Amino acid sequence: MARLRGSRHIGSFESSKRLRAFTLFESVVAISIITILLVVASMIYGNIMSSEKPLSYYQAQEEVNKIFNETKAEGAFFTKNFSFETFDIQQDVEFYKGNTKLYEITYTVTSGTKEWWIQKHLIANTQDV
Amino acid sequence: MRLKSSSIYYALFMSLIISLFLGGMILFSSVSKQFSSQLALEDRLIQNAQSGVQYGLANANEMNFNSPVELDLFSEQIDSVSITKTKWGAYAVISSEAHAKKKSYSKTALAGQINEANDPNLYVVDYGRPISLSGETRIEGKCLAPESGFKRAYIEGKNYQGDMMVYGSLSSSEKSLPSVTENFSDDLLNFSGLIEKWDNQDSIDISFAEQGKHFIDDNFVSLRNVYLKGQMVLEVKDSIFVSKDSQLDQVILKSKVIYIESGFVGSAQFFASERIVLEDEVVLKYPSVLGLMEGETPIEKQNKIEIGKRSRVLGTVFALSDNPNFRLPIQIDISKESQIVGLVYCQGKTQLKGTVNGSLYTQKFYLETASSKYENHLLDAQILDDLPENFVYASLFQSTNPLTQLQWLD
Repeated sequence: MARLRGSRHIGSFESSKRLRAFTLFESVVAISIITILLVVASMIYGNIMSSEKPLSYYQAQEEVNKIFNETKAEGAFFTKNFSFETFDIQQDVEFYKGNTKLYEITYTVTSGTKEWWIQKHLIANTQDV
Repeated sequence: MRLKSSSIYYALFMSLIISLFLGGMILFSSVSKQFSSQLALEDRLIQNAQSGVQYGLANANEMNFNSPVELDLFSEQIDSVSITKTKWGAYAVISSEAHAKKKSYSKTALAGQINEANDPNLYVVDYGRPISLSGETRIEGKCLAPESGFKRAYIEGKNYQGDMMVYGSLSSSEKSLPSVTENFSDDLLNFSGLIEKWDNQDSIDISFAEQGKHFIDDNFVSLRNVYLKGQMVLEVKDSIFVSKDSQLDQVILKSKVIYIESGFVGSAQFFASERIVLEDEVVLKYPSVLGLMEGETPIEKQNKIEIGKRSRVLGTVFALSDNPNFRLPIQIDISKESQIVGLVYCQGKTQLKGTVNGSLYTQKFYLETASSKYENHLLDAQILDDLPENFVYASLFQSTNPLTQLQWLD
């Protein structure tokens, strides 16, 4: 039965007269190309995802703005640390280059051991006479 | 029959699709990073421009007008700002422009002197005569008055109703008013705008980031149904009439006589050399200025600021005289039910029938009733110590204190 089938099969090939036999080679090349591309794609995707800032980064920006505005409104220019679930904000206050008419406020935002950013502001010291 | 094995084409097609997708991701990533760094740069520029304004406010006394100060704020070579102090009428303007990587951002703030807790609420020069109080007069806060103090008086059928003469502290005043900043009057129009002839424009809005305009007219200008905003000065030789349907914001008007129609509401600085008249129910919003500056040669006219009934002025009112005419001293007349919130400074006589919430400095008081005229008398007048915290006056007095921001200017 198997022989009969095989002979039928060969017969059909023979009847087509010409047979291109690069399917295996082509398949290997195709699989190789796609594999390489997928590897590159995953590397790029990984790279992009690792360089994207986490949501908490933007939350930290909001918190820094809020803390800065509260500090200004209350006139409470003191060095403080603010701890949040995924980040910390260090507020350092000093006189700007020793000039008592101006406060220099530095915010250092960190997540674990990673420093996200530092931003600085000047505020006039209205109490200075 | 021919069998085509075409998986290479499929593979190439697939690789093209994947390549496009990858290219898109790379492009998206790079645009996103660029956008993010642009935003960070813009944030930094905004913060630096605001810090520059704070630097200007704190060091205003050391800065000269119209002389930009360039500095690298945090010495990191990317925080350069240019800070300029200019005059805007009776106030100061601090502009700060931050630069980094060919980008710039500027902020401009209107500034003045903050109301200090130890500022007097009433200062009357000591000419050796007491101040007589009658009716429902009330004086609150820190009071510097003639050594002879206060006494009760009976005027127009009214006795003094209060339990105390002063609801606050009382100490002796000097024989002259605290002096105003040197060259204050001369610097009021120290403004380098483009000079143009006034052409009865009905709508002008000039940003403080642009160059301002100084309009001049030789005769009389009637402002009816106009919209004037921003960095413009209108200087008219004869007089200016402001109708109630005019909209003024931040502008400066200067003339010999300025007349403001009843019902007007707006914010501006008005400077005149002879007379400023506010009809009844005029509202000048914060921060407005009414300034009367008598010239060096006194004229035989009664120069005065008249504030009509039920009018409100939020800001500063002053009357200055370079060479006072002792027969006709400069005057400020504050009518019944009118209110001034802020600072009143008069190098002449003040008639107070309404309310001053803030500080009042005057040489003398006067009072005119239907039947008589009185000197250093107050009838149903109110001097209150209830100014909002951080209320900012015009920079009238010489001070070593930093300037305080009043508002951001567009």
